[in-house]
Amino acid sequence: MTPPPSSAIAPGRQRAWALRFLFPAFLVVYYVVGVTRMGKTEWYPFASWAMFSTVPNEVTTYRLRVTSVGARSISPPAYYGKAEGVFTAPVRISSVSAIYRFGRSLRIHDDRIAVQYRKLVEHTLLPPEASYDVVEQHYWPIEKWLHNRYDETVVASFHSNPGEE
Amino acid sequence: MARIKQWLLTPSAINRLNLDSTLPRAERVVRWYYAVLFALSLLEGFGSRGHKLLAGNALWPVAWAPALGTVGVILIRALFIGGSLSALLKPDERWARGLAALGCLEFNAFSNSFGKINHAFHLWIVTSILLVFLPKLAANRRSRGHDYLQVLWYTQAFVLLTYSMAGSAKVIQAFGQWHSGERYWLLRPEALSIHVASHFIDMEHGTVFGTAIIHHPWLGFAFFLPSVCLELGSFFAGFVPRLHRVWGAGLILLHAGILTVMALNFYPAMLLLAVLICGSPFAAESMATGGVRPRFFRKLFSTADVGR
Repeated sequence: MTPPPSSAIAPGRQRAWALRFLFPAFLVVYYVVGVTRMGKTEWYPFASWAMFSTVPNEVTTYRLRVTSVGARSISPPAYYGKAEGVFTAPVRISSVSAIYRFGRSLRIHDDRIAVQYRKLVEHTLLPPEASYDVVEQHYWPIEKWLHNRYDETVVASFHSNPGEE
Repeated sequence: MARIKQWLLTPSAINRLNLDSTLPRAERVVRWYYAVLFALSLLEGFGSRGHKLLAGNALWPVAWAPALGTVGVILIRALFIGGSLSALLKPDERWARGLAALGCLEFNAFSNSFGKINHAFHLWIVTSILLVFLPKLAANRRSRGHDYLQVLWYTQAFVLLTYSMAGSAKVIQAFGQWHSGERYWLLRPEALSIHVASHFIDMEHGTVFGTAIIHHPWLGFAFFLPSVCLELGSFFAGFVPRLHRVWGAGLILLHAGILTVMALNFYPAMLLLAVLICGSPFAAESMATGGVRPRFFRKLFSTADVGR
């Protein structure tokens, strides 16, 4: 339905039309955008609200582990989240997600995204002159949390230099 | 049928509400909304010091900021705090509410430009944009009062819709996982235990309650399924004003449970639910015309609301 021309109706009627059609339309559009973007990159500030919707089965994820900082070798390697004093920021869900995207982009050879996330993790998480690995881990969540059982392979190794642009 | 209709609140039914009692309550809810937003802007705005935006990672509303460096971050913070303050002081002025919405959009775009979009503040962003459309009452309270109430009801409906979206996403994914024969899905008792364990692995630390749920999956299952039902029904609860307070309290308890079990803090969403849904101006109105209720329900649906 198209609205009548604005000059033909009183301001009160215009408001009524907006309330009758625009607000319900917004709710419908928000729902449709949310559902169709589920599992994909979000269109901020729209959101799918698909939180904890998929029950994880066998999980594939990515981690950072630092093997040396400057001339100091770190053995065993320090994993992000497990080694205070090596990484420059505490564990945040946004950092975990950034590391996942970094690892995933390396795995599928998406160089543009990999460069973007490498820059982000080196600026926000890693000390200068750190040698680090991006590793891929496979596990069943309860098995890993209770018994620390998982498989791991190195995807790539880098040397950080946060000063680089 | 007539009795059911009496319980329902639809946009057209809002036009029949008594303005003398409902409108002042609605105005108080809006004032509370901007008071809480201002408090949040102080907490979050000053807590963001030290962040520096990187070009390429910045979300679209703050794509301009990396070029300005620290000045850009200060401007975003100032816009959030200043905008919220102006809306707190002048809630009837559209320019002030617009400034608050812009500040909220910009600041949260900034704080979500570090690898992942978090959702604790999302409801504030969109609701602040919706509230820009509140009509100015000073000119004519009689003719614009019902429009004012409708905008507020749609804002509530949006908040409740997002919870129904969260519930329906779980059901949709459950069907997909069950259909593809995966070992674990929504109706397996281990579902919540696995979510909790997976989150603990990501964050590298657990909680006492979360660990108990990992060890006793049925305990988690007993909470998880009712939570999904609560989420699913949220949007429909918006049409039943006498459910507003109870449903709002239920959703706040859901967030409190998530905080206790998974240490995921959605306190901005909890505050929003307290103001907009528990403090619903329509809940009290419905009880005023609802006749005599048993004592328990009289207390539950008391006409005392946030604004009084």
